[in-house]
Amino acid sequence: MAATIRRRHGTGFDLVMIAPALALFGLFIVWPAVQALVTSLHAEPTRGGGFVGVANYRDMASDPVFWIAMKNNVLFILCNLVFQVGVGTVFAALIDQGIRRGSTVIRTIIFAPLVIAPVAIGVIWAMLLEPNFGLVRQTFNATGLPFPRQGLLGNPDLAFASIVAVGAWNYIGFMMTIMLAAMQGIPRDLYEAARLDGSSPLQTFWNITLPGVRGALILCALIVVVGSFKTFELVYVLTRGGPGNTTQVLGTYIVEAAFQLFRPNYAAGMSVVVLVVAILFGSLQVWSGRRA
Amino acid sequence: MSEAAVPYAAEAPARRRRNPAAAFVLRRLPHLVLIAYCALVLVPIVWVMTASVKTRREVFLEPLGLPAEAQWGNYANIFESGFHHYIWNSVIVTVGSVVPMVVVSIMAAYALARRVFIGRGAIYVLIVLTYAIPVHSILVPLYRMVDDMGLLNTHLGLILPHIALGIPFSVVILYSFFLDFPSELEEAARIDGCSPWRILVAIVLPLSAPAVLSVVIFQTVSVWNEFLWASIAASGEEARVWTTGIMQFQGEYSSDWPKILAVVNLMTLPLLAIYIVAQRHFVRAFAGIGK
Amino acid sequence: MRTTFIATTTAALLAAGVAGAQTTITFQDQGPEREPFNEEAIRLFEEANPDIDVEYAWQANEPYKTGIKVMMESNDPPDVYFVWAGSFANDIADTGVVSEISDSETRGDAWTRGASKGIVDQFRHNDGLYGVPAEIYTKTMWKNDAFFDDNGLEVPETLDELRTLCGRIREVDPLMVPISFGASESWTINHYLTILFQRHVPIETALADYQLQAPADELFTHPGYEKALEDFVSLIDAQCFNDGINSVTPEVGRTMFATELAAMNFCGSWCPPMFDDQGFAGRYSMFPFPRIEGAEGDQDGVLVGAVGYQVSEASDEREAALKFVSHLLSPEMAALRARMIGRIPSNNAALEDGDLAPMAAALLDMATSAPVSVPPLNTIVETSVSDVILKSGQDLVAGTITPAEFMDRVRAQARDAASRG
Repeated sequence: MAATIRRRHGTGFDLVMIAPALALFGLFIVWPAVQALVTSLHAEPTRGGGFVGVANYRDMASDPVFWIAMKNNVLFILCNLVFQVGVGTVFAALIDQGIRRGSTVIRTIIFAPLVIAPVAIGVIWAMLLEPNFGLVRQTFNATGLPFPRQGLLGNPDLAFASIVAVGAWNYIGFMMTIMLAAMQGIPRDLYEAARLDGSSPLQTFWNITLPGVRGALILCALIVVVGSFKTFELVYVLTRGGPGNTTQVLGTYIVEAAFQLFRPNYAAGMSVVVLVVAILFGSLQVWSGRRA
Repeated sequence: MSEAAVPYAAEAPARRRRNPAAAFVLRRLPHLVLIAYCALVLVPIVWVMTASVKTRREVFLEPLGLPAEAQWGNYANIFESGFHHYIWNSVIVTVGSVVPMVVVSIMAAYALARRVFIGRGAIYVLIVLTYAIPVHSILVPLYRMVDDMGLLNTHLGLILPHIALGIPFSVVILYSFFLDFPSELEEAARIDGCSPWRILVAIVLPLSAPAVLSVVIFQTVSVWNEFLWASIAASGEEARVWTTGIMQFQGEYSSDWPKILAVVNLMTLPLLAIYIVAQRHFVRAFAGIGK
Repeated sequence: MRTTFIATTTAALLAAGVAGAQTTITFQDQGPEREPFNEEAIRLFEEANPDIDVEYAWQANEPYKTGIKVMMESNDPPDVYFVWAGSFANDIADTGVVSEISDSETRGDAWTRGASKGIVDQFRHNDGLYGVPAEIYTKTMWKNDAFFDDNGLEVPETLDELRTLCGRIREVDPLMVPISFGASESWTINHYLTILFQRHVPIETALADYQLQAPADELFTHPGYEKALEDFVSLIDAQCFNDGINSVTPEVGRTMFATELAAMNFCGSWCPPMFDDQGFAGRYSMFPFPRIEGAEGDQDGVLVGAVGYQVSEASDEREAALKFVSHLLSPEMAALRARMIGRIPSNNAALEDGDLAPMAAALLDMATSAPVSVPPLNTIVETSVSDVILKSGQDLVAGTITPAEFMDRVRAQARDAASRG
């Protein structure tokens, strides 16, 4: 009885609470998403704009640049998992393991790049990596190391790796901070017991630390997967998707197709692919939330 | 810090017999690795600071030295070129986006986590499903819609989509916080005859400060740094923000690195300073996302 | 006193209110370089037309290319805006957002006085006129005079001589880059390819390929294209350029020449004012792009293109916009343009001796006396094919594709585009 009364009493309140978020969300996310799907089934406005079914998707399947972008997005996710989550976790363990002096300073410094905007980071690193006058080139020269002739960002084999490296510089501190917070929640007597058992630091890390931070690890992985999938600024500022199309990602290619090549509906088709994958990631989040 | 707080320090018995120099290096290895990485983080930041007051020649020829004479004119140039308008636009857009975004997210997350009503589960799942959606996946229709509303090149045209795109993530974080909120307090307040609105404002919110702060800091950084939507929806001058302004600035002064770096530095230093002063909150905010 | 003041102010306000059919037109330009001229031209225009306000804004070169297309897709595009003649202008016209202005031409608005028909024709598309020319540009080789004199170097007349010269320069001064080259924006590669294609492929064949007018299976099959690409690669192999071409910005490339870190530069007619800005005035001179022995194209051809302004179809104030365009591009303003910003106006009817800087006059002379002139590839080749050429240029520089593979890509895209009609 009490429960039903409460519910009836609260309905208006609930509606007021949920309505603004739902309205904004519906209008600016769900509706455009539906529109993306609808427009992707039509020809470009410059070609009459009639219904063409899946023609745009068929074009996409035979468009090598789309596949390069797709492949790069997947590679980004994998590389970022290794370099951001992996290195972040190792750094967190190193600090947690026994850095007594200077740990706060070290943490502060490593975290710092996170507050710099990706656009600014792109501008800074484009200059540092400038192949004739950049600091990196000058360091190579000073130490007598050979510098690749096409530079780093202008070299198809190295441009992608350079972007991954700059991304890691940007985000390792973020990952480290989350992992460190989780590690500090592990009861110290577990470590004490392991020490008495004579297990090595590596064994301890493997048997105690990692299981203890599983939740945080999953969370970091999710953040990185979603973040890498959204990649735009770093690529845009560092290489514009070049040299050629070698570092093109879906974000940069969608913008290029929509607003440079005048193929907005083709771009909408690619958007739908991105939407589907993003919703897949979202369901991962639902799933991991259920499990936690 | 007590010895117990140093879990697997290198005191294991097997170690003792090693060559002392090697043992020293091994014991110091974590320190060395971390310090080397810190240098990697610091060098570019320090380079930006010094380069922004150098002459072009000095930047190219003496990248690591100090400038013979600080070129403060590089900073004066920022204001002469009107860049401060873009900074001001960024402030308006950031505040205008984050405040309403957080308010509506709190309201929605609270209702979803603590109240019982029809469709609750479905709405939550819908919101979570979309939290990974990047703006480029709805770019073209969103652009046309905002255009039809007459909001291109206005603050509102940036703010409304920013709010919407920030809602899923904020709701997810706040929802999980509210879910763990002890129900006894609410129950007691309800018995005292408090309205649900009062319960939220007077009881739940004050105790939710860490989660709310997490969301505020995280979303402030995201909106302040946002580039793609701003470059499309505010490509004209009226509502141009600093991130897109910097690309224009780079186009204008392209080989004049010190002038560009002065802007970069001006846009970075205050955030770094705030971060260093309020470090605890930042770290907790970002770590809090892991809760 | 006080009352009179208020009375007068009120009267003035009322008067303004009555006359108040104030019209505002928006004017979007590329690059900050035209700012001083534009501001002066607008001031003069507003003086003569007190009922029209011009809102002027510009975007830097690279952001402008996307920025203007984004704006033109909106419901409220700028009334008057900058375009490069050719496919850039035509693509926008194809979306139906550009005003057809042959009425302005027929009634003889100010801009038509003394306008060169050939240049105006560059803005014709599908039997309509979609723009008014403002400037022409050309591109040539520049050299550091003192460096050439001090080391007894001679201006290369053939591509072979240029390659040899690159080696000589590397010998006499290992720190001197023979030709500085920045291609982080791939249009700079495009300009080299434009002139190399022109040297190697007869103009009629090339134009038929560029516009996809040749039969589909013959498109881009002339062997000269591949030879041109091989020549381009040979310049890289001969160490003619600086390191990291693909990630050096065009501006840094120019700066290297103007700060004497490079002996030569292939740069446009817009470059001398930029060189001069960096204190290099009077210490450089131009020479024609070398000839190529045995090649089938014209050996004295030059790259010449035009830029101008379009009026938007959605403009509520089409008449005011046309009035402004007509003023901005009138022969008198053309002379002012030459004087103030050193560009070569497309209309030289009112140009007097001395309006054009000596360097600009020499460039104009070179452009007009050349037997053949071609606009840059990316403004004349069909857009999707041009995109392949642009992107593949960086691959060619990086050495990841061969000239043969480059042309395979171009032919495949050309056939595809031709079949789409």
